[in-house]
Amino acid sequence: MSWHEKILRVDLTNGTCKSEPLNMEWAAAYIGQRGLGSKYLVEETDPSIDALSPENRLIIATGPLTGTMASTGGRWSVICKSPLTGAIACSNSGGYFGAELKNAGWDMVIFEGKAAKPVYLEISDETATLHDASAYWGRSVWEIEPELKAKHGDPQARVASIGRAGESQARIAAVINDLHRAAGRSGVGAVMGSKNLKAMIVRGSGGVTVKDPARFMAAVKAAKDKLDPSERRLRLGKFGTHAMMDATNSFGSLPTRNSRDMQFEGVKKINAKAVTVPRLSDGKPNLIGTKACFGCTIACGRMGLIDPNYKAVEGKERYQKGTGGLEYENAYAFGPMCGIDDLDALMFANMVCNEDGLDTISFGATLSAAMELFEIGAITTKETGGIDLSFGNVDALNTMVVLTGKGEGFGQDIGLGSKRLCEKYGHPELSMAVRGQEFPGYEPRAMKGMGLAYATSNRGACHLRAAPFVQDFTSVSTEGKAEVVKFTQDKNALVDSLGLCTFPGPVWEPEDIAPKLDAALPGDWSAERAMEAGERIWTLERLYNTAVGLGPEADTLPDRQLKEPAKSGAAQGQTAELEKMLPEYYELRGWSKDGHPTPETLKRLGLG
Amino acid sequence: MRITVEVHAIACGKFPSGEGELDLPPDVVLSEILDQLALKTDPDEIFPALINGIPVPLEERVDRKLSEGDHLVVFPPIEGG
Repeated sequence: MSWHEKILRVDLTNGTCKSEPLNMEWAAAYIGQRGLGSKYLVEETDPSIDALSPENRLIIATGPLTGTMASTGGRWSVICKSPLTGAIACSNSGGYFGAELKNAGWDMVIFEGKAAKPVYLEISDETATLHDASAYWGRSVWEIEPELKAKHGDPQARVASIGRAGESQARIAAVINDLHRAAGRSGVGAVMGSKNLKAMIVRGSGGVTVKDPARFMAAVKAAKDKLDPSERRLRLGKFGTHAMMDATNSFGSLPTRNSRDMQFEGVKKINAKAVTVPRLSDGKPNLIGTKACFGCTIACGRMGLIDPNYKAVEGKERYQKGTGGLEYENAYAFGPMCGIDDLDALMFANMVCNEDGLDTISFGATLSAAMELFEIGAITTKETGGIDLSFGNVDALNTMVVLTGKGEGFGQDIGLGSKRLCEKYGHPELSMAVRGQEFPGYEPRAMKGMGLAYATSNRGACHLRAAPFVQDFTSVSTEGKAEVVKFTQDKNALVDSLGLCTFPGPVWEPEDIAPKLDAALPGDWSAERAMEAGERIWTLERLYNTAVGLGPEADTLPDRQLKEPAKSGAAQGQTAELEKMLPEYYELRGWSKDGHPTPETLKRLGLG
Repeated sequence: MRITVEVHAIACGKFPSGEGELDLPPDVVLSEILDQLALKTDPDEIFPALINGIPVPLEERVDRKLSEGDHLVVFPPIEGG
């Protein structure tokens, strides 16, 4: 019920695809998607493996509510050891691929080993087949997705694939589905590339059964009745996440020029208003529409159209049509972080990241680090191949995104991610990252809760592992931040394991979510049981990281946030004050003072 | 007393363009100004409000007075993604 109780195991070394039963004992404890995928990774691999070796797993996981009528039920995740961080990775995507996989009758696909030559996986309901992908290797996501659909004669099939960034094992490579949705973070695309796996094409004609259909639909309706009329949903649909830029800029928490500054003077040229203003050249705005993922009533996704006269796209038809548009995180990373206020340059970078499969946040933030290395003379045009990497140089962004996407020239260095790049050139302090993963668009000196969330995030700096936004925007103090971070970490671990999206946020508290689980899944699911599962999942990830030396010792922030006072904004003169929050956070988690789960906590969660 | 106002990412009944000026009596408090803006909110939502860039906690808004030339920024309890 909700689970198909079936995993597809693909042994790439031997070229076999086998069905095996889902471990239902684990499913009862770890639910699905992020939680259950992580449990399988933990059980099947040694944490010390090289993330780019055949020993790593690439786990494609749906949640029990993926593909159901539950609003936002289109989420799926990629779980593996991260080649960017060395920590446990779980990268979450929307679109339509996850629901299609679930409707094909599979809860999860586990890839192991490495194919001798490039392959892709075709799933058509219960039939799974590996095919030669040599005709697709070396080509972009945008080229191969329509070709695969045409080859299999099914325009309704769904594709997830890697671009050239994943093939070249750039440690910031993403897996892209439905042309412009991304399992973006932690370099999961490089793991796919390391296995010589180019793509998955899926067609599912079945459905998802639930324990009590009538009660499930009543629970779904109750949740929708709460979400749909909410101003939160209407705002997300109308303005998208891009609206965040005015908030962070006003507050002074918009990381700018590699976090040297926290407010960006060019923000009005690239914010959510700017994308609605008709251009002089063709009379059209950048924003041409919105798009929803499977089963979603929010539709936060943006569809954008670059100025067809923009120099980087002249004569290149593939860029001159509507495609995935600017969201807050990509706009922040290409824009303020690199000091760039050219809307079309941001749009171009976004398109290339989708086309070649790059994580937009890590790419922009790593280029930003390279720009600071360039500015202090640690790298010169000799290393960059003649490219002037000064902050604000639009040509640097336009050129480097193409080179990084293809894994060519200095793009290979950007593909290392900021931690390795800054270490290579002798300035590790210039990497704005936690556990080696680059910051999203929130500056920890001003948003203290987000600083704690970054420092303790199991997959490295992340804005989706906790949600202390409101508390941060209403107070720059550290007070109360540990509590909201801990609660939302557990809640988001739960939501990420269900097949649902975190964006309903506080409109759906655990008490609103639990009735859907209780009606869909075997057993009784209260809000308390669901939240305990979230805590268990968080703690399991923590134990994995501790085993690879990325536990408490990595609960920190860069020196810039810990020692350099903010120059402007609400937190002017302040640092991140992490040391004030960590002890309370550990205590709330039932961890020792040095950041290890106590035996009692492990026993309570069934991990001891 | 005149203040300038910026409202981000939300429909504002008072200022459809998202910005403008308010002419206020001297003893008006922040919570009253926020009511005047006619912001569309969900029940129990807390809107971040910055006066000259500094956030004003919820509990201080019923007492907080503004001064001539102050700049008020208001935005919804937006979360990232």
